[in-house]
Order: sequence, then structure tokens, then C-alpha cells
Amino acid sequence: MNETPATVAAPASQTSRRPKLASRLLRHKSGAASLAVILIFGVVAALGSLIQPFDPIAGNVVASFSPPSAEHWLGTDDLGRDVLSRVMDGAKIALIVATVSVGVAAIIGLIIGVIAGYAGGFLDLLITRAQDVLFAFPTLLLAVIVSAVLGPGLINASLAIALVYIPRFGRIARSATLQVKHSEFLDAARLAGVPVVRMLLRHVVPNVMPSVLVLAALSVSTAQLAYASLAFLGLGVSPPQADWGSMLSEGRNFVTVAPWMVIAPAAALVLLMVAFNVVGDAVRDVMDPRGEHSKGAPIAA
Amino acid sequence: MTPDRGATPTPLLQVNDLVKHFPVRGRGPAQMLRAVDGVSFTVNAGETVGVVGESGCGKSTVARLVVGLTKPTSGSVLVEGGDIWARGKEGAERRRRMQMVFQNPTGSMNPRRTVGDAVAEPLQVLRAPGIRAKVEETLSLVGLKPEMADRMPHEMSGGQQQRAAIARAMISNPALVVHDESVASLDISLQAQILNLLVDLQDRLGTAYLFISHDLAAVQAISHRVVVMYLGEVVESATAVEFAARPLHPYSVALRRAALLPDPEIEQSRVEVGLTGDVPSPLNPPSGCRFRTRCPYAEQKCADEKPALRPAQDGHYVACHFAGIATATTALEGAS
Repeated sequence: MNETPATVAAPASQTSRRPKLASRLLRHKSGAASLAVILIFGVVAALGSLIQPFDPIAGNVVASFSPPSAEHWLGTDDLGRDVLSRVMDGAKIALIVATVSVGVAAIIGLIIGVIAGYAGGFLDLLITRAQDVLFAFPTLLLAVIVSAVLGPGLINASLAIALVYIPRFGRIARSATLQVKHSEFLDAARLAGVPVVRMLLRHVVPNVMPSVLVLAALSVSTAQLAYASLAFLGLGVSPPQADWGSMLSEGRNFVTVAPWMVIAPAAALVLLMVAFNVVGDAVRDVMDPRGEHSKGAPIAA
Repeated sequence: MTPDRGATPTPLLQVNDLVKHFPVRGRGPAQMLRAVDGVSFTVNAGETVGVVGESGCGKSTVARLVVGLTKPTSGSVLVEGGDIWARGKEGAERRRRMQMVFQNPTGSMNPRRTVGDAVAEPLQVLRAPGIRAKVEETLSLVGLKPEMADRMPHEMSGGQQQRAAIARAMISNPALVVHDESVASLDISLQAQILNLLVDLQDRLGTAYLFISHDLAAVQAISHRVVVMYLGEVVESATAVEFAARPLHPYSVALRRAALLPDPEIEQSRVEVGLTGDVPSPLNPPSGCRFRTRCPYAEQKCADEKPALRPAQDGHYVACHFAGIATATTALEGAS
């Protein structure tokens, strides 16, 4: 061949398949840092009572409202429960909410968005309008209504948030599908005789995934906040179980005498939210197939 | 596979009175965009037929209709005498015998899958064994290194991507490959390389091509026969040799004059194109001959009566009341 492209000389590592998303995410500085933060929360939640200095539920009325000290690092609440232990126990709830609500919403949203975008016509109209109706409600109000109907509880509250979040995933999946729907590589796949379902899984979903993943990572923080609001209103887990939203709700009454009761869960909530947000940005950076060029990787063009 | 030109009496591809109208919704009454309006031609096995015309004349719609990406409003596409839209397996099988190479090499590969995956796709559907070996063999056939199967599309140059697209089209041994402006986005030296590659592959594999382009020079370089389209209709059809020597339709002559000439001295004294204005809207095409609004030789008859595509010579068809009134040679005589 007369073409003498510089690419021929590319090192072998470049010609092999690109590394998986996770390992590329770990090489992204802020992505790795925020993943580490999330991991710490995860470990704390998983180890549970093994590392909690006190029983998060057992009260000790004599020690109520004690300020942060060597014994109670983050002080105690109105019933004398150790705030640090309760914050650590609440991490479990926060992470369950994050995965369940956003996971369910992202999967359902992805499916109906891709179907609506690819099918077009009446089905598209139906799905899009149904989502618009859901979208028209203020997020939190709808979540409150749904979880009031389903009844309080961790899973019910998560599902309520999931329902509220489906339309945003549906929309982004639909618009990403529309972008690739008329692409020539789909035409080529049609000519090759690829069945519709395989075409959706192989050619459409991988090109829709990046936007959905980024939105998922960014939604985790707001889902977290939405759950905290539901818990604040008493629609979350039932009382003795510690969770950040209800801790804030209780602590509000004593904010002048025992500000640590509010500060500790609020700080944990903010830290986890920021971490998920940064991961979201990192996912977006890493998912671009041409991203390695901009990072100056030695690929000849 | 050996070339079997003219071995069968029925042509490989028959396009009969193909019509594609797109409804255009907007304010006012619904309108019809007549993208393709009664196009007929044939392609024999192992032959290259070039289709030329300006942007918006319906070339790409013809390409999509031929390979079965779009269903025609009316008319039929026959492969070896059988309709490609026949129900069930038969129609699907006929459609699979035709593949396509697209204009934009970057857009025709999924950016998230390797080149090898893209090239292998037609075989995977057939569940053929030894796919990897066949992919590497086909890549070398189009002048790429077999290792390039592991590249991502964005790690290749435009020319390499287009070679890979050709490999994908050729891997399942199609009877016909439609090229829709497949060299238009490449620079001129690459165009020549790809055209040579296509001729070479045709000699080896006996594949027929439908080569669609706005570039008359490219079409004449590669085609056995040339079909000229204007506003959704065929205005002239002839063998490439005959067309080069004696284009009969005033539009074909204008196209010939618009082509740049390689010799700079002749090029400088090239006669003016003689075509003014834009192609009329296919929403509301002119009465009679559709070219009359831009034709320097148009008369009343052209508005009243639609010229039929009639034989002027053996194998030379033209749709013009005054065929041959303009000649390409006048363009060149002025130069010499």
C-alpha cells in the first residue's frame, strides 16, 4: 500500500483493546480520589457494628447533649446516643438509597428511552408524553406523594425516588438514541442483517451508556438529598435506625444547644454528595472514546 | 469466486420504475417530496454502473432503495429476477447479497467497537466459522495490515477507515456493492488509490458496483456504464466510452463542461459551464422536461411534453426532445 500512516508504528499496547472503564477511572486523579471517599463510606457501612465505638441505638440519658469529647468524638444527641456511631450507621442507609434509587431509575429509563428513540412514531409519543407528565411535578413533591402511598421505609422511599428520576434518564437515553439512530454504522449493521435486539444492545446501548452513566453518577447526590428530605419528613426508615436525614430533623430542635447533632450528619451528607458528583465528572471524561488523544497519549493520527 | 460476466440472461440487478416520495409536513397542505421519480436501470454481474448528478438529484435515495434500507413508494428492485422485498427469508437473502460503502468513513463505524468487530459483523450474522481468519484475510485484501483489526476506528486515517468499510462490504462475498459517494470525502490522491483498489477487487472477485457520485471524472474512471440523473429522473444512460465521446443530453454536456481538466492550458480556456441557477425544488418539479428551467436550448415543447427515455443508439438512451443539440466537443474544440 502506498499509504504510509504513522499509526503502523504505534506500540503494541495501543493496538490492544482499550482498558476497561474502572481502570481508566482509577487513573483519573479526582475520579480516583472521590472513589476512595465513596469506598471509605462503603467500608464503614459494611463493617457496621465492628467499628462503631458505641451502639448507635442504645441511649444513655445521663450522657445526653455531651459535646465532642475524647469519649464521644462527635458528641451525643438528646437521648445520649453517640453521634459518630449513628453517622457511621447512617452511611449504610445512604449507600443503599443511592444504589437502589438511581440504579432502578437508570435501568428503566435506559430501556424505555432507547425503545422510544429507536421505535419513533406513536410509541415514542406515548412514552415521551407520559414522562412529561411525571416531569411536570416538582421532584420532591412527587417523591413525597409516592412514598406516602407506598408507606414509609427504606426501599419504598428509594423506589419513590427512582420513579421520580425515570423521566430524566428516559429523556437522555432517548436523545442519545436519536443521535445514533440515523448513523451510517447502524445502516451498515442493518445491511449485515443484524437482528434488531442485538443491534440495540451492541450498537445503540454502548453509545447511550456514557450519558446515562454520567447522569447516574450526578443523580446519586441529588437522590441522596431527596432521601434525606423524605427521612426528614418521617417517610424514611423507622425511628430507632439512624439515618442522616432524620438525624438532621431531630437535631434541628437542639441546634442552639447541641450544634454537633446537625453538623456531623450534614458534613457526611455533603462529603458523599461531592464525591459522587466528582465521580460523575470523571466518568464523563473517561467515557469519551477519543479522550485518550486529548490526554496526549502517544497515538499517531 | 470467478467473474461470470454475461453468464446469466437476467441482469444481476434490475431497477424498475422506482419511485420514492417523502411526505413533507409543515404549514399549509401536505406536500410530497419527489426524491426519486420513475428510475429504471440494470446492473450486470461483475459490471460497474456509475450514477452521476448534482446534489439533491436523488442519487443517495436510489442507493438506499437499491440495498433495501428504504422501501420504495412504488416500483421494484430485483436481484437475479427476484424482488428484494419478497416476504420472509427469500427477500432478506436477496437484500444481503448487496452491501454498501458509505460516504463518511468515520460515521460508518461504531466508534466504540474495534475495526475487526465492524468488519466481522456480516459474517457473525451468518454464523460462519473461522471469522477471525477471514477478517484478517479481507483486511489484507483491501491493503490493511491484519493487526489493524484490533484498532479503534478513530485510531485510523480516513483512507484506512474507508478501506476497512470496503472490507466490511466485501467480506460476505456480495454480488453487488453500492458506493454512495464513497471517495468524495477523501483527498484526490487517496481517491485514485481507492478507485484502483475497487477495480482490482472487481477483477479478483467479480463483484458488481453501483458507483454513485457527483464527480464525473471518478465515475468515468471506474464505470462500464454511466447513468445521469436529474431531479429524481434518469436523463441519459450510455456505456462509459460512448458517454465520454458523445453525451447527448444538454445536462450531461453541462456536467462534462463543469469538470476540471487536468491540463492547465486547456483548463484555462475551458468554455463556461453554461448552467445557471439551482436545481428546482423536488416538491414542485417543472412541467414537461424537468431540466427545461436551466436548459439553454429549451423551447415551448419542453414545457408541454415530457421527453421519454428513448434509445438514440445501441445501448445509449436519452430523455430529451433535442438530443445532441449541445455537444461536449464544442467545449473542447474551443480549447484546442
